[in-house]
Amino acid sequence: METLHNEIKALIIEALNLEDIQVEDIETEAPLFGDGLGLDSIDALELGLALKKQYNIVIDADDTKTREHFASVASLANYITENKA
Amino acid sequence: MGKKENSLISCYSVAQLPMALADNSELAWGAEGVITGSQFKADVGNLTHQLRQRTESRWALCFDNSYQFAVALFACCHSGKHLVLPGNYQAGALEEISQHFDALLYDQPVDANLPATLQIQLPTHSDSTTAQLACLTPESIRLTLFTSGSSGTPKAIHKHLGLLDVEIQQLHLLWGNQLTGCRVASTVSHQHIYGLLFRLLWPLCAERPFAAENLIYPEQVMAEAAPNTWLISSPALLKRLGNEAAQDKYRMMFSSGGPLPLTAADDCQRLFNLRPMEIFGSTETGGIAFRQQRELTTPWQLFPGHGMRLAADAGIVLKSSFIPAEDCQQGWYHTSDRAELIGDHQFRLLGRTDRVVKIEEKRISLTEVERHLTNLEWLEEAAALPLDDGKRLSIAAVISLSDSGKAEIAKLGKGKFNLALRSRLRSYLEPVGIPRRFRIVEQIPVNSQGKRLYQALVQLFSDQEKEKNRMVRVLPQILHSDVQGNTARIELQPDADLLDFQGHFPQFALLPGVTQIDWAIRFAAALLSTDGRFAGMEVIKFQEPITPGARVTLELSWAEDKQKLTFSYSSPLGMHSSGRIKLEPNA
Repeated sequence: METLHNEIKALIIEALNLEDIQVEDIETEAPLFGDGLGLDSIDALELGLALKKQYNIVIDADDTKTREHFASVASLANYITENKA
Repeated sequence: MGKKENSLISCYSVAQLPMALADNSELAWGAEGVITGSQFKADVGNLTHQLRQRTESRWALCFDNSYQFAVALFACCHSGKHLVLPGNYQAGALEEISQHFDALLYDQPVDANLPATLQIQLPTHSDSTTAQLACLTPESIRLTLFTSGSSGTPKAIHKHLGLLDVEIQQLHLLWGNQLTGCRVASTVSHQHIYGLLFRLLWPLCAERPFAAENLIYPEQVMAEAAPNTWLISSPALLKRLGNEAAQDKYRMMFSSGGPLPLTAADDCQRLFNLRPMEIFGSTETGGIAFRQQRELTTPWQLFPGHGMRLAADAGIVLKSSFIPAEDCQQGWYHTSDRAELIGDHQFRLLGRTDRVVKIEEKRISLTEVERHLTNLEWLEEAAALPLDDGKRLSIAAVISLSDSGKAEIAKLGKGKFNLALRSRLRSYLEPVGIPRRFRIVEQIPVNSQGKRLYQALVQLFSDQEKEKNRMVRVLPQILHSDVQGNTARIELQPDADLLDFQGHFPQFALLPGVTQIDWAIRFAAALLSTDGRFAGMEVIKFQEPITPGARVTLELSWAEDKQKLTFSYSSPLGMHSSGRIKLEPNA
């Protein structure tokens, strides 16, 4: 799981062009939006696209929990593990 | 004030809401199911009864759910309250505008520190006593909206509901015939004027169902498409549909809040066989013009009834029944958007006349970003600028640190320090307005008149891009720079990962002389605005090698009349090199 966590962190840094931020600067349980990394709504969209590309996961349009899946690196990792196509 | 019969379906005035709505009409839908007209009337009546017992007059509405928002809005109208719509719910931003309201209605808890403000959460579960609702006088219902002004503080825009009513009737005349049998989905909030009109008030007046919740992801936008559905959206989402596969079509799509890229309009054409109707307007003015973009130069069409001319700076001057009369001079309103006219009723946009940039649909004042940055004890100076990294426009900041800031960055490292800065700004700025890239300098580069050198600021970021592409850095870290007239003093630290150290020499890395000359020319171009290429050199001396990690001072002096650049690299070890470079104008 830790490998996946670091992979997601690297993907976030790469996809969102977060310069100066290292993998170890991102805490696995910290919120990605709001506090913590402080990503914005456009980041959410870009991140969704990048995850889809990398892991071939499809975000379920009817899933009201989408926000929860994107809450932290840890929750994203769980979501990817469960939904890997 | 009867139903207007001049379009296919009728449209009520807001004055008649919610009383005129049919009990069994589908008013809204969401996670909680379908909400009917009778439920809406009961909810508004109930809350109106509660609010009529309150003496607070100005009520701020902070809602995620558009149905709850509609209940709050009409209950405020029917209890004679003044409506206040904050532009965002960030705690600090709410505190900053707290003098504009006495009480707050909300659905999701707001963590702002507002001790003097009464707060009521919806839905309330009180007794079912309901108020009698009578026809409203929209002109007497006051409404305050907020936007980023160029002054750097959130700007309150005062209107009355009658102006919105006029605009709704106009929208209905233009496009109401497309609304027959349709429901209205949205990716935009009701909290700003575009969403307030298009996703909420207009559907309500036309008795068409609106979505209580917003669509957030492209997948949701695709899944919601149906021939009986309208989509109220913005460029933020529409430009990210490119990788989706066509499923079903929308009847009508609207986009507003910022420029829609032509590629996004083309994507919509491919996916839905429909080009979005773009609305150009602002909080101050309401709708100004509309277009369906087929090519980059597709002109904007002024709303019927508006008049337009241009000011001396090409700023649009507008005559519109959507604008409060007191905001106009002799009936005309001056905007900060520049345009060129094509005939009397069409125009093309040219940009802004002030320091406000649009990121996706949010108006961001660079002055405001700088003010919040310099309010932090870690910073002395800050210059904010918009940067386009190819994927998106974002805010970048060049900053200088105070002693406490220097101590903090030494403790945290640059990455964590950036995150800490962003986190401090979060309570004041919208997420998209928070700078995501920082450059630290000892002083913000200025010209001899004290004006900031915009090109030099941009340069600080563009070099980083080149570095990224090459994976090794080509320019040294700048520790400090100081520009005075035609001279500059720059403290540099050439790190070991610089491209120029690679293989030069394998056993003993040192900075090549040609690199030193190249840097002198590049920094002169960035800081002294020299514009020329290498044409020769004289009295060049390399005295002491520069090794990786050394801190050196580069001094530059530009003699414009002779087109000669004098440079020297020195450090506590003494003089490393010096000389003069002749530049000739670029062909």
